[in-house]
Amino acid sequence: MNPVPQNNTINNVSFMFTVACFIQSSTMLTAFVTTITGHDTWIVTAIASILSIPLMLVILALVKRFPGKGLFEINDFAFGKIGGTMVSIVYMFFFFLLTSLNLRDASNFINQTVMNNTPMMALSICFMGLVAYATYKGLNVIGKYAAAFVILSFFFIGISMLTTMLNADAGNFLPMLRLPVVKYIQGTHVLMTIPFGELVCLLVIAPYIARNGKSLGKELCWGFFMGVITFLAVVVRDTSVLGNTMRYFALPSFQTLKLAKFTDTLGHLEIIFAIILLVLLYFRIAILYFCYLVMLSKILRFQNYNYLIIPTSCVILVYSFIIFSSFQMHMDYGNRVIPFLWIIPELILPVITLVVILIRRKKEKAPDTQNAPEVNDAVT
Amino acid sequence: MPKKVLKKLLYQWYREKFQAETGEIPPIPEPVPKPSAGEHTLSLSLDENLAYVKKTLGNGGDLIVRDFCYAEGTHRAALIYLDGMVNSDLITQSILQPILCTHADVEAAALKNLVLCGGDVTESLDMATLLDKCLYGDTVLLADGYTKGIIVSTKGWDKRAVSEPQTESVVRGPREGFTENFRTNTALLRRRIKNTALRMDQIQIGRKTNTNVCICYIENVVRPEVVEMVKTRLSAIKTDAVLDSGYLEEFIEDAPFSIFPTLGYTEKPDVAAAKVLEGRVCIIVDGSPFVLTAPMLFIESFQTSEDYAVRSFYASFNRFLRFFAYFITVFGPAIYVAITTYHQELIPSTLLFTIAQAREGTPFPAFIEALIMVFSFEILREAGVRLPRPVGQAISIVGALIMGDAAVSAGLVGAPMVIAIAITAVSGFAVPEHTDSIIILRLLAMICAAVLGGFGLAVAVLAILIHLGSLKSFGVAYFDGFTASRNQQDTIVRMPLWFMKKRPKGIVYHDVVRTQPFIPPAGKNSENGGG
Amino acid sequence: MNVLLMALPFLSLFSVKNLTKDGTKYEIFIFLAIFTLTVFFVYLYIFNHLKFSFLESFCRFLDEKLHISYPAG
Repeated sequence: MNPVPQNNTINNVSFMFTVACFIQSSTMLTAFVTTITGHDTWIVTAIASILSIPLMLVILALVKRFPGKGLFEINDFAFGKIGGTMVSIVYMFFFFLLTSLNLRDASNFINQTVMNNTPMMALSICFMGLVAYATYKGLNVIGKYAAAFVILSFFFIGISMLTTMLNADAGNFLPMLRLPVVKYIQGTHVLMTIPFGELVCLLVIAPYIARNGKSLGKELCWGFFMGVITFLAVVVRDTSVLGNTMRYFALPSFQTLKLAKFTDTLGHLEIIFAIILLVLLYFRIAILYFCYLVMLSKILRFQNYNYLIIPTSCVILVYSFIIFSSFQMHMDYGNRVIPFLWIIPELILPVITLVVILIRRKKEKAPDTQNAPEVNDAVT
Repeated sequence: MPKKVLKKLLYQWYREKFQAETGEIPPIPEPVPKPSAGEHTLSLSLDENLAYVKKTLGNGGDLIVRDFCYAEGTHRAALIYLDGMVNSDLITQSILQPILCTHADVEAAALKNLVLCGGDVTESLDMATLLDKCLYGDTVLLADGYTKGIIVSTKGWDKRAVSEPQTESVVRGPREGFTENFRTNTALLRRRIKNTALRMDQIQIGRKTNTNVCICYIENVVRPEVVEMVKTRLSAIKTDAVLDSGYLEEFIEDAPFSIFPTLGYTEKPDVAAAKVLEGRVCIIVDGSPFVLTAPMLFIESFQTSEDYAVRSFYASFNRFLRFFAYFITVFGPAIYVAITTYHQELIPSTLLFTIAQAREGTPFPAFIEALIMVFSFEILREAGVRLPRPVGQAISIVGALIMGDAAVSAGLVGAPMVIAIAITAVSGFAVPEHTDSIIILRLLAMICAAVLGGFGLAVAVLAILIHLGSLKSFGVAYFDGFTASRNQQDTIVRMPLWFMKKRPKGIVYHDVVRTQPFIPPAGKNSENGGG
Repeated sequence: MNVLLMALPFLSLFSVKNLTKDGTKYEIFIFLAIFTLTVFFVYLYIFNHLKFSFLESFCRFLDEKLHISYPAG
């Protein structure tokens, strides 16, 4: 394969913050699980994060066995040329759907919270234009600011917890563990699928990380830990303020932030938090869009994905408006059906890939694995 | 249509028009061909050589040809120099006096080694070289029957004295500034870096101006590929004139269509020396007091030489203040427009009533008000720079105070808007290096905020960050220092000098350590009673 | 808004010049095919002929026909 261009490499530390930022951006999507488990969401969050660790280990194992190679090459090796391409097409559609869904969520969020009278198409076009510009400039530019975004979100989540402290009530956590078991299973499944399972995109990003010979395990663990802590903090904050009523809100975080007050003078800070969430969402969509473009360009044997940016972004833009006929349907299927659908690319396929690779490696020698891409020390 | 054909057609049109008006056909000026190196060598006849020099240089009023005989009239020679470019006393003392006072029969070939008293005396066979040297202020000595010309360094034109630079004034720290004189500038840099590894590679750029350009760097510190890049880009410049370092900047910068500069500049030798010591290349241009430095990082615009002369806490505070001022000046009007137009709920109630009251009679929306005020300020600023100093200051005061007050009284703009723009304008002067980009960014942010409010502003900020993140300056990431990297010691916070052990990563090549590990013995001294 | 959306796919034609310089014939062909499909797709949406969503249909199929879903409520 062609060597990775310099403007598409990120270093280990940026990778760690990329993982953290990716999970943090899902704090807007807590409605998928809060509508199921209500005030016990924090319990399923903790369980889901622990149960997601094996998935992280599978991803790490695949990345370790194929240094410098991405998901497409791994599939090619595991399933052969044709089989590998079919599996890559499945992943490509997966990333395409995720990008469209997240774009729809972002536009919806902005429309409902900040810009009520602006047509959603205008917001989507602006947002997608920004994401396309970032992807055109390369992964290096997207990942460069991950650390700043993570620190920013830590800061604002801390501020939000302080400002909503007066509205918090420990009694809102009670009664605990009174829901049917299937609800906890469903909540855990949804969380493992939607924020944590989407980290399978790291398999696409892996060849673009300048590892300099080091393993990525530590960075992945720390990034995952930071993301989970943030997610948990948001859920705990929302539960302490809203209690069981959080199951009735499409955006429980936003409702909590509406109650945030910084002295009597400064209120309505939810708009500032909405802007911060918007920044995190941009990051998430940019990463997913990058993964989609990379997979598409590899399947179509394009040297450079830049030429595909505008056509694909138009398609994603349009598809985000027809993907579900209403937001309620989106929420409903997101709670009940999508977790089963996403199991295929997030769990089943990576595990099967790993098993096949292990079996094949036992039977035959490993192919000539290329060295890690050359990295200029000047690029951070 | 090819350019040559177009030029010819235009000239024909001009000729016909002129002929129609005056009845005369203007003569077509014939360009005097400049001899290229090696093309024309000296002849044995002095008269022929002098005729050639007069023809090439144009026999103007400042061309002095001093014809004389020496060795008791047995030999004939001539001095050629340009009046105003030379030091006449030096010519008399180092050339004329020694030659004319020599009564012995000295051949022209021996003049250089036995008679002339100048410190820098060379010879050349080539007429082009002799003429070039003459144009640079040297004196050329031609002798009858001798095929070489003797070049004596006698430069002595009037030049500005080394003074405090106007664009980079400091409270504490050196106050010397570069001047327009090339050699003075190289000497100012040499005085600060007395190191055998300091290289000053000189080239000439500009077909008509032949401007001297010096590339300065420290050999074991700078990356060789950066030097190579600078030299390649400078050599590729094929232009007529280079009158200022700004000309070169446009030719060699990495992103010519970006609003952010990717080449630094400074008027202070100590700043230039500090940058060279960090692994950068310095480009000195004859005739310009502004020296270019490459590669440039975005953070450099927020660093001043005074930061390293004062204590690190104070320097860090000032650094943070500059960042805050930059943020205010770029996004201040946009935030004001977004909040007053789209997000009024963010404004505290009391302030909201005040603003509403102030804006009650104004006919324009907040965005138009902001545009009017921003443009008025920019016109005042530009006028203040162009006008003579006493008048310029008066105009600024008139404009700022009287026009602002009158605008509010007339109800054209609201008082809060005037205050917001005033703060914006003053903040802009905290970061003078980015004045050009600030104006454009401010407008862009205002337009985005006016169209889409807070969302539009966030999109604008992200787009700017994406653009900054993608910029490179001579192979080095432009926006380094704000991201997850090791170069955090001298960005928003200026760590103590003994803490900054290594040069900035990404710029330096080999000699990475600049300070050996050291902790100031303040604790030890106080324990021993200051002994 | 629809006018803007109609014009958006044609922005990609600006990159055709670079593609003809740097890209192979295969890449140019694929790019033109993708561009055509994009225009078709976008225009179908603008003129309200595009309402079918693969994901929604598949989710409905899984839910109602195969009952691979969690219970509602």
